[in-house]
Amino acid sequence: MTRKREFEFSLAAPIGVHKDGEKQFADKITLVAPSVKNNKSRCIIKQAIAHCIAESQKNRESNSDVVASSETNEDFATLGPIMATSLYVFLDSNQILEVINAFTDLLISGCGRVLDTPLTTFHLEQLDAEDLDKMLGEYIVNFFKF
Amino acid sequence: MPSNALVNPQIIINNIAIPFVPNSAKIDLGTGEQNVKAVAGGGAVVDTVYFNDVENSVSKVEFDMYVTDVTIELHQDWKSLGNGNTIEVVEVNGITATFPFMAHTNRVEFAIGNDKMVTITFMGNPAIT
Repeated sequence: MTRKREFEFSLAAPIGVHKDGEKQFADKITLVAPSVKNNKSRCIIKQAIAHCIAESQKNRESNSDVVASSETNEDFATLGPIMATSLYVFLDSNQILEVINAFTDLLISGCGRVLDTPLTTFHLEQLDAEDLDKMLGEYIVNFFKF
Repeated sequence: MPSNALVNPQIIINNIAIPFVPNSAKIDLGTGEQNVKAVAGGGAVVDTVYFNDVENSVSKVEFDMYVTDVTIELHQDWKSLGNGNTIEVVEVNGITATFPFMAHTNRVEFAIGNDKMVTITFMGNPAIT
């Protein structure tokens, strides 16, 4: 079975993009699955998810539904925010920052496109922080399997 | 009204922040040149005519870059896009000017050596602020 390699994420706050000589505004970002080229960032994120799963298993009786399973039937858009929240629940602030930095590195290294142009720091600096959290959640649910 | 000097802008061209030589950036918003001439109406009647010289309503962004492999690559990209470059100049105190349909117009000679710089000039539509 071929796995989905990319999906579109809708932004709550549009960002400016230089395209065809003009500044345009985009409300969608195309997210692309990480490849071996992105292994450093991918490993940091995957390890953080594994940590969250392990922690949620420890607290299973009280927190059985916090970390989303890849076998669940819920759609990715619903699971994304749950995943983002679980990172904040189970990781300390330094670990979360490390995950977010790894994710932004992924995005500017070929795993993100906006209006068919590669994502750059210029775009990331305009992103709404809540959009970035939600995007991270959906990215994990779509592309990280255990 | 207190004001802040524009000293440390960020120049973003085609979504990429450009590393340029400090204090070398110059921008012309493309507001053009206007003139007022007197006209005689006979006797004591004197009036004025206002001229807006649209010939000069071209914006300009100019800055220096050190000669590096990145500079040469960017220069080639900008030239290949014709007037399809977009420039955004952002100053730290919040002023942003967007320059649409910019063309990298000047001929560039890359001097090979230590501490060498080139001037990069773009011209295009009047800026949007």
